[in-house]
Amino acid sequence: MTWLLTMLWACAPADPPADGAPPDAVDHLIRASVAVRGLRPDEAEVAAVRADPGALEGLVDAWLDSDAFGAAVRDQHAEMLHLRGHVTGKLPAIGPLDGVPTKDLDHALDEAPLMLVEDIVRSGRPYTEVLTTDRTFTNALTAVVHGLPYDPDGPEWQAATWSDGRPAAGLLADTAVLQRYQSSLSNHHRGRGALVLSAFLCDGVLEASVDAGVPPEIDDPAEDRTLTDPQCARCHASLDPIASAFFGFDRYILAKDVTAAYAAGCPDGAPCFPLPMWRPDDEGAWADVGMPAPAFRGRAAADLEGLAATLAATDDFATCAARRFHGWHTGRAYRDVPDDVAAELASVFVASGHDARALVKASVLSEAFAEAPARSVRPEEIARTVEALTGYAWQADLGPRLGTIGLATDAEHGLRGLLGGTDGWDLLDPTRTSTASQALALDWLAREAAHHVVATEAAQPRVARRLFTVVDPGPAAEADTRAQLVRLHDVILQWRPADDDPAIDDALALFEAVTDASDAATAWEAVVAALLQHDRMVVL
Amino acid sequence: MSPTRRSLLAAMGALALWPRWVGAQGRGRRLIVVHAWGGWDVTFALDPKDRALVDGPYVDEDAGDPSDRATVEVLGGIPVLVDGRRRPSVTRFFERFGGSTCLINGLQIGAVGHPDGVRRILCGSPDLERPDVTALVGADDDGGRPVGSADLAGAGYPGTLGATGLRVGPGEQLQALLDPSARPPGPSPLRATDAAPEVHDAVRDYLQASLARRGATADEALARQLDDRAEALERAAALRAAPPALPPATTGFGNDVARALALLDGGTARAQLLDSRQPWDSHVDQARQHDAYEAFFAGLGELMAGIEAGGHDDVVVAVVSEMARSPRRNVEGGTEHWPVTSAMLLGAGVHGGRVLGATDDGLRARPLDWGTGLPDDAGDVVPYDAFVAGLLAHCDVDPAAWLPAATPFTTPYS
Repeated sequence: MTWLLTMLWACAPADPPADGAPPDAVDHLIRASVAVRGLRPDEAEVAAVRADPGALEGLVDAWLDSDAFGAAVRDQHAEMLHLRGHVTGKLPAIGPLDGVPTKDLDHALDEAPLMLVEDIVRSGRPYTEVLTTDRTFTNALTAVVHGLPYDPDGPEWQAATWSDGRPAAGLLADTAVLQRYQSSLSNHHRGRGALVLSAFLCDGVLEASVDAGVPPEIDDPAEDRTLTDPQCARCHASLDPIASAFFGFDRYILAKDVTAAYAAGCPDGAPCFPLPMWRPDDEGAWADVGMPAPAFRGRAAADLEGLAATLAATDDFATCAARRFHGWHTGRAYRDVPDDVAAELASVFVASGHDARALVKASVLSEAFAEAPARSVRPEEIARTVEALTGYAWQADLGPRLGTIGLATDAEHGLRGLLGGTDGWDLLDPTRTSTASQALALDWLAREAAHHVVATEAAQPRVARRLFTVVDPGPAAEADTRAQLVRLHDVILQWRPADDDPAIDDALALFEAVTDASDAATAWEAVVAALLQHDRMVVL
Repeated sequence: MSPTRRSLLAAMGALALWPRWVGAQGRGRRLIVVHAWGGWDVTFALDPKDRALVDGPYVDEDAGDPSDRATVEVLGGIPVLVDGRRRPSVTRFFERFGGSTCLINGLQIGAVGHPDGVRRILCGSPDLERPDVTALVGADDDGGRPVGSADLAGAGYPGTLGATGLRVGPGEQLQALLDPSARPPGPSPLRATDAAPEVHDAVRDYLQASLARRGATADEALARQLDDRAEALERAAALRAAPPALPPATTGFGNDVARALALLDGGTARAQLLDSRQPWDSHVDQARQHDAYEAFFAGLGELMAGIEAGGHDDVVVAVVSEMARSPRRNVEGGTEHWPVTSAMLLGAGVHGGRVLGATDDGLRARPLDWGTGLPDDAGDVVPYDAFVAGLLAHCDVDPAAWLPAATPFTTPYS
């Protein structure tokens, strides 16, 4: 009976679009779903919006409570903070971590601060806590690295509080973030100051073009020109007081230093695990090198904690958050978000008590979002969507030393950069167009996922299947084949063309061409693979 | 960029009819840009200064060993600071390729931040959306090659021209994309084998037909994205049809040199962007510049030798860095960023064996006569945009289309 109902449902004509294109409401649904949680909507969600376009708001509310939303928040902040993919600041699996696959440790170090952001956002705590909390998140590996308490019988990721006395400054006091933004002795934590300005205030001090003009003569090697040259001082006047607040944190701990420390038997003060990142005796050392006292826009701050709290309370922080979230949702750089859109979203955000969920909801339900230019799908989005549709996780086993990686999400050994993503170091801006490397990578993913799902569903009773509910993935009469093709379009692309639509004609032609060249099962694989890299999947 | 071709094909709804590339040679020179990210210390070799004026490499010499002294030698017509003990590859490089090298000193970058400086020297503009010179050259006319440009550095700026180019990846990613047998095993036993060529063609034709149909009613932004997707699919198919014979991945600059030569031999791209893979950004431990010079010029020599051996006489090579280093060492024995640098041009159409431009005793850019390239107080310094515009013009790309305010510096090619 269930089988019959499934058949009837799959074949039932439903709200046929006049021109074969999805209605605007469904298009908005798809884009909102991918923006919020990196996943396309499922059949029930599409049906709800087809029946009532106003259902989108309730769906967004539901998505904000999902794990996929948390994953997307992590994706967004990984790109913002340049946290995934790079090797700078990574640590060796040594000492108590001996034998841990390198990629597992790299992944844990990158994800810990992102898990904190996810927790703040999903729990509805004020987003300002990303700069003010004394908490972090840890798994079993980072607990060893940072010396944090961890319950091995608890969940994989657990909240923890820094116990070394470091300032309560959220991400700004997180070792993984500090390790990514290292500082030489002569640079006095300015890279970390630039992170603050860029990531949280959208003041792209490093992106800005500053003409240094003709350099002056430097005879005194101790002179810091950034403090004396008016051309330099323009930026440094805002940057340096923020940088001074980071004194007390180690400038960096290199992997080779950790290895050497273990080789030497971990003498006192050596960088063995847990890493001695916070050195309170250095907290006031900015004065020793001629740096200004910690301050934010002229307001003195006792330390990083005070500075972070001050800037988190500014209008610019809220506006920047609005730019960052809406830019992520629409596939644009934060600087390309129109001022009026950012201001309107920021007002919603502030009125909600800095609840990022309210910001996300306002962003994706806004007219500006609905009318935003088309964009290319991100690596995480396509991989997550394909896995949800087919059950296929696109991974590679790199052996016991390195471990297993997600091919769409790893830039060093995987294809993240080639799919248009960033690598956290060399490649800091996503590629916003399709490329040949993306096309080749998507074909690889689509082909393997199609192979997997066709084989899997062929072995299942039809009632248990998601894609092949009309026919088995083999030969069939043309009418049934067309009905199955409609079903595949509906489930994969959330688009239900009529069975005589030109799109179905083309899909049938593909099916028949591959059947002639091979067999029907291979042809169904080709059709599924084609739909998984269809323009409606790749260009949102 | 070739908007006419792409727009025409899209309008025809017939991108599937795009010709299958067979590696035909087109007009215009090929280009390789090698970027020394981080800022090299030009006083170590390229722009020698008196030891009284700069710390340079001199402070690393053993004062008690008179034989441990860097000296200026003219190699292939170019005065170079040589140190046979620490940087012998620099000497070897200029001995062999100095006569075909045009060295430009006193190149005014004007920026002291890495991202700003990189955009200036690679794109000719601080504009955040401007494509880099390899993307521009490759997109202007790919010469019938599978892609216009290939980014081996991983740090190129394709801007709106991404569909014409290719990111290669730091390891064996491109091999894995083009050859399923080169792919790492997956945790699932359900690794698919590669499809037959006719299946690839059928899928591509289906995807192109869909793109054309959707594009027919698309707004401008969507149409542009669909157009790019159509072009990317065709270029991917062309790569699959004519895959370059890439060597197994290693590490360092030598890896990129070997891959770049394979892409040249395979006729894969018109332009390439490489990174030197050296730690030039020496805020601490300036002595690392010795090793960086040694490794880099060894690799650069291999690149030029490979180009020569392959008979690729249509290739021009530009070696650039987004900045240089301050003349004096800081308290950590390193140096800071310096907004005047040097660049080298070699290969097709480059008038080598010369030094153009100069810096003064304080490592500031000196004005020069752009006709002769010689210092002339009545002339102008060479800014970054003029350098890039000249390179574009040398590659038959109209610089006015992308850098309208720049006066192309064409002296290296005359």
